Amino acid sequence: MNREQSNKLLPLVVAAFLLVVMHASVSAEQEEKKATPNDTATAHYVGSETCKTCHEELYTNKFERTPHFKTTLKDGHGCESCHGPGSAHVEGGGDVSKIISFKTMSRQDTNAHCLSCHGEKHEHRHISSSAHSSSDVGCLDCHSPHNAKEPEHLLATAQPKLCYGCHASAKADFGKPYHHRVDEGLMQCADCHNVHGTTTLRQVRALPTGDAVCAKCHSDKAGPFVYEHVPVKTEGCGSCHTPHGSNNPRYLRVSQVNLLCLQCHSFPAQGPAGPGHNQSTKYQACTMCHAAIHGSNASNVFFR
Amino acid sequence: MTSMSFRLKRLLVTAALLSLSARAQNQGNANQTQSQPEGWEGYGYVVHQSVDLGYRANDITGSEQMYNTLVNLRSGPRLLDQSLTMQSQNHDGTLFDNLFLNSFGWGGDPNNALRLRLDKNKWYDFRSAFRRDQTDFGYNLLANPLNPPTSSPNIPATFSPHRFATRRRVSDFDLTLFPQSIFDVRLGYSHNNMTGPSYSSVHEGTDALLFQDWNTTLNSYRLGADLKIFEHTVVSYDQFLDYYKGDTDWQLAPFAPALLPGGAGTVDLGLPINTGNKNPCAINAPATSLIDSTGTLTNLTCNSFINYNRVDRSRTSAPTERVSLHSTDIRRLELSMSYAYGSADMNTVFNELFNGFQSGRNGSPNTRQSLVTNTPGTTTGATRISNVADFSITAHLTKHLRFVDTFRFWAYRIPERAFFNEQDWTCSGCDLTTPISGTTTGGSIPETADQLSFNQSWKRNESDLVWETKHVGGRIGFRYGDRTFHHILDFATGDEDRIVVHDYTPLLGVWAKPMMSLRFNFDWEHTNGDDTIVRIGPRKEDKYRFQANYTPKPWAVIGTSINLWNGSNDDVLIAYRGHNRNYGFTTSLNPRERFGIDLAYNYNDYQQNTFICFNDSDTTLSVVANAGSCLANGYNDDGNPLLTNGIYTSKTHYGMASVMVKPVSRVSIQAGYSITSVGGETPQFNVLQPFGSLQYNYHQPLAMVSVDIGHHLAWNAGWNYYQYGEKSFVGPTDPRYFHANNATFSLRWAF
Repeated sequence: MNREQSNKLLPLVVAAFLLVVMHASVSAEQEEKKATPNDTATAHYVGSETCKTCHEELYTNKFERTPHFKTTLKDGHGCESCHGPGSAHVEGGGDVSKIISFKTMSRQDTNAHCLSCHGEKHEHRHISSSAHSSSDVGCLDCHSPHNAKEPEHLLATAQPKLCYGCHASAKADFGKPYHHRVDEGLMQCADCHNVHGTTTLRQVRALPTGDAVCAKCHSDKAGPFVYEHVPVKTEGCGSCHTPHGSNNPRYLRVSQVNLLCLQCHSFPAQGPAGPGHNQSTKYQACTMCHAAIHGSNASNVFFR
Repeated sequence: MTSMSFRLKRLLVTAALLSLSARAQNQGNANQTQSQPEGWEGYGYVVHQSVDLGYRANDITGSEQMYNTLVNLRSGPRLLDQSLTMQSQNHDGTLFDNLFLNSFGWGGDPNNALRLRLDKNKWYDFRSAFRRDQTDFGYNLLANPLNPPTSSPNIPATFSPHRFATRRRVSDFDLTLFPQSIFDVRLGYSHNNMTGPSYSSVHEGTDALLFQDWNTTLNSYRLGADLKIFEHTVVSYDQFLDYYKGDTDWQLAPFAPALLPGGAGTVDLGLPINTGNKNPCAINAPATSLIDSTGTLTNLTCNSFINYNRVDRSRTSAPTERVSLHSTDIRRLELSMSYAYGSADMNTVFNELFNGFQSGRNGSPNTRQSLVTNTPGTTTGATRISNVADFSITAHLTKHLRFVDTFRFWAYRIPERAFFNEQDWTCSGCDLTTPISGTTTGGSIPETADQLSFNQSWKRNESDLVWETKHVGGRIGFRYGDRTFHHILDFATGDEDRIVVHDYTPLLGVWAKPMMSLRFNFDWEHTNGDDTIVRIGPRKEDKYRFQANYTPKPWAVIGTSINLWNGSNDDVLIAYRGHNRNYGFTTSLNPRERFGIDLAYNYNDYQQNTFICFNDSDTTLSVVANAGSCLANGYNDDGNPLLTNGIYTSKTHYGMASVMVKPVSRVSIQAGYSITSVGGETPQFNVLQPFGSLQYNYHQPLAMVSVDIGHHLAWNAGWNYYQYGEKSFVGPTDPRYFHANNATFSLRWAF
């Protein structure tokens, strides 16, 4: 195809794309109208005991055992706190179109329901600006209020399997022989990532000082030091390390430390000087001498 | 080991004949046949408990150092798992409404954890965790000098000179009072303590092995409060205090000891023993070895250590204050912002003594002893003043269109102060037997830091327009970054490094959900920076991500992903190129309670490449034979005359498969296998240098059988096999290959 043909086709492609988007929008509006019954606006609350008459199995064996049951206490509406007033649903003989059903609701509407109670928690403050939200990953993709396999946070599946369902590369990384102990249960994905959103990239948690969350456990690397190693502070741990798993025993990006050091320490004109040691005769690993490579209080070349 | 192996096989055969169920390491209770009991009721609570008591047995062939490094499961009885949940029957318990407690790994496993959560509706929410991890790290190529067999004496380092047997204990306690009221209070405390023996090294003429008695502690205190000033507007204040104590000591550890003549004591020659390269010194003829047959040193002007110890007591106090605000009160607007100010102050007490022999270079005298201490009346340390601010706003323009802006500012400056006194005892024409009284010293000489302040400020703003409907959506945005790195070496002379980096990133994402069970995601971003701070920081980056997730049934999850990253820096003196290409899929199908299958495959191709200059005299190595000249190509590094493309590539295949069946309702069987297979290339700078973990296979098959024997009891047995094998030559050290059988038998009681 030559350039002229391409130029003729481009408006057609753009127009086709816009048509698809418009059609999808209209369809979505129509479906959402169907999924969000108008009847709930005029309906009134009937109380959880009424719901229980038909949904006893769900109520007794599931809902009643979750923290959400507390919505029935005091002036709460129980089931109707989330599903909306149920009188029209009851009067309609259980007509599912007359009550809020999350199975057919869009991600943003579902989130809005959940966040009406949970939105002010510190953990959830950036959810609308999170990478998950803009990728159409919503509350119910991970949480299952009625059928949770993990009761504490009502997760559909416990971590890390839940996260591996989408993040297949993370599963492979943690399968490497050198990895953080996530599969072993010592750590959880949520220890380092706030899946509900942060202002950092990759939804990585940060300490109040702005440092990476790594320093919470690896506190000896946090400093401040009298002599800071530049990339540790300017680029972060990920400049040299791959935290999920690595082919290097110390989780380095490359398998042998000398190459990693040389890639920065090569030319005085372009950065810090190189080692000048004859690599064939000694100094197999730079860190043998530069043992305090994350920062030192006594050596500007990180010897101690 | 043989009897152990026989015993293990007998146990395994018995387990197979009885068709009993297995419970393998790391698999939790997911596949146990035992149904969740109803629990029991008492004191107003519904109580569920489980206890899993068992025994592990091991059979290790090959490198135990590597087994400990990678697996580290030892034989012995264990409390494998324990759980307790209590839920108030009327959700209004006396002390609490809900209690969740679970723990695992007690009795000798390398990973223990205990997690507790208690809550009482509007009164409090308490969460606590204790985690202990044990690291017995001994990968023997780490900091290994690769002593050649041609050296005399020949003393290979068969273990890892830098190795660890450390334990980290981390405790977290967080209490929120009145979590649902307009005013809540948050209290928290964390304790992180790492202790244990480890080894390191120090360079003084040669490199000595040091025993490093690790002891670090971090205590973190948190106090905060949230005040709801409007219905959906919360103002928060938090005060954090971190107090770090570094109490690690170092002292000389023997590696290559030799006697001094005349019973004058012993000396250690350090880790690198390569007499052909005069490490730690040459052999003086007529001797043919540095150490003679009586164990006596033959060259008394050898770089070596008689004594070494170091104390570095560092104390860091780091208070941080943070105020934040979150509001959704303004219609169609979500607002979140915070600002934190921190000032960490570190002081250190340093004392280092070296006694031995350090040969003087270029005519300078030899050093027999040196002592470094803090200058009296001064404090050595550093302060970090940090400011962190972030701001995010989401404006819902229409039901399907929103504008999202996220801004983050992070700046710190680290003024540094070092005031040391160094006293050297030197001599000319002396040797190791020369007493300190026979040397001269210029007295204690003050030394100050040659770095005075380390500063960076970082601003980043991302603006996105997000459009989404029920079935399709996307975002288009732009990220701007601005970094200033400022390293002041001398205030008076203006000796400083100052680098300003701007980067610009357009980004795009689309997703489509043709049906609720199927979602496609595609994201792209391209970063263009005008400078870098480190050479391997790319100026240009491209990221592509594609994901598809299909969940046709609640029991079926199918996912696939492609993640591509390309980075480059076209500076002619750097020529950085890097990429990471990752392709994977994962499938989990559990159509019936009696059958389930999990499959996953992932391929990762990583490359990191930049020009490097190096110094190497071994022309038999291809990287040396094919190297160019640094000087001829404009690189002014006399010490490293050879130029090459420092290409590192790594290709990783990961695959796993697992099948679970329940032939009868009371028995479940699971079999699985996973493999990580890695290949790659890297320049070989030393003929003795094995490729090590650049090329290896790691196999992990497993089998499990579980039998519900009634009375809320399940009998479990599991078998895990681990096999790690590197594909290149071993090098002048012990082989790192191992394979191990690990059998676990347990009785689980759930009631």
